[in-house]
Amino acid sequence: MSACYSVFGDAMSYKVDKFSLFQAEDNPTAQEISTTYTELTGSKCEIKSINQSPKILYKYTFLASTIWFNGSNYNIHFLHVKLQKSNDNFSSNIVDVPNCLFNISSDTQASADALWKTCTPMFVLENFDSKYLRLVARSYSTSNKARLHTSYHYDGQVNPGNIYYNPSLIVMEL
Amino acid sequence: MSHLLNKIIKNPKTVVTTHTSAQETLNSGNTSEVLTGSEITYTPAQGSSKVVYEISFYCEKLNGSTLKGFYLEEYASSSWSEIDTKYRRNFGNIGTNSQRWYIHFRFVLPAWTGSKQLRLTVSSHSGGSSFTLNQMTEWDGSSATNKFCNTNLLVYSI
Repeated sequence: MSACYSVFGDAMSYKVDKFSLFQAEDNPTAQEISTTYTELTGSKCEIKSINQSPKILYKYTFLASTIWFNGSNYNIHFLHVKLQKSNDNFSSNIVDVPNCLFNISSDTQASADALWKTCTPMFVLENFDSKYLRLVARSYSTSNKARLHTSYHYDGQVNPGNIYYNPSLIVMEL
Repeated sequence: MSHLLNKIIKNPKTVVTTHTSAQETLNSGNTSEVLTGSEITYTPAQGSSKVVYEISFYCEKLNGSTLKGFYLEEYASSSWSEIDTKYRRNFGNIGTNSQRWYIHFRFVLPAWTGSKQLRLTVSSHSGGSSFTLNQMTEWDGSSATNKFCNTNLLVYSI
């Protein structure tokens, strides 16, 4: 870190900038996640750090719920979720971040158990070497699809509409 | 000359633990063990009022029940002890089903002076309540043996 002086030769205060980002999706369209990896709405960000190899905190939150058809006819969800990085906004350079992955599932044994689950992935990335981050997810099988960001049930009603869990993202250079 | 660090949180400290094997929790009721990757020695930033302890980890229970209690501990007077019952957490499932969780806990503590060791312990509510930490037994639509999730710990002052 170099010293900084005013035109009068006095030492000055200055800031050591650290990148931070706070974003939320407002009433997003529901995502139905099947067996193809799909970017989670609002999970993508560009890292605009001025520092080489920064340490990055990535924290996202979203709702995953059972897909309900009718009566006791549910699609029991089972998702694989992983963090990816890229240097070209995921155009051609797409790399899975090692060991930043997890499963979430509801009951995969019974046929009619439903689950509504919020999830808050938090990853610390040492010596980050890319420009972009995002989360992607797929289901274990076509019988284990999940619905994200909205709920079929609320306040005692079935399919009341306009019930959102807005996914939000915090990314911060530490 | 002064340096004003343009950060929202103060004195962040992290521990990222990469796993190569699963941590199987104890099966007996009311016996506790340390959650791997949860221990840290931390000194709050000068002038701060709170310390935030955040941890994330993966766990799963296949074909059975589990109910786990988590306790935030500090090292003081040559031993570990629970900080306060208000920092307890628990979760679980019942039946013969399978559940997979990605857990994120946040604890907000009053700041202290000097360094302090913190950690998280986990215990079963009753016998037969073990579960598996850090390793996923399925991935990309089939069984897996080499998929692990890092445990991420972040502690900072505000």
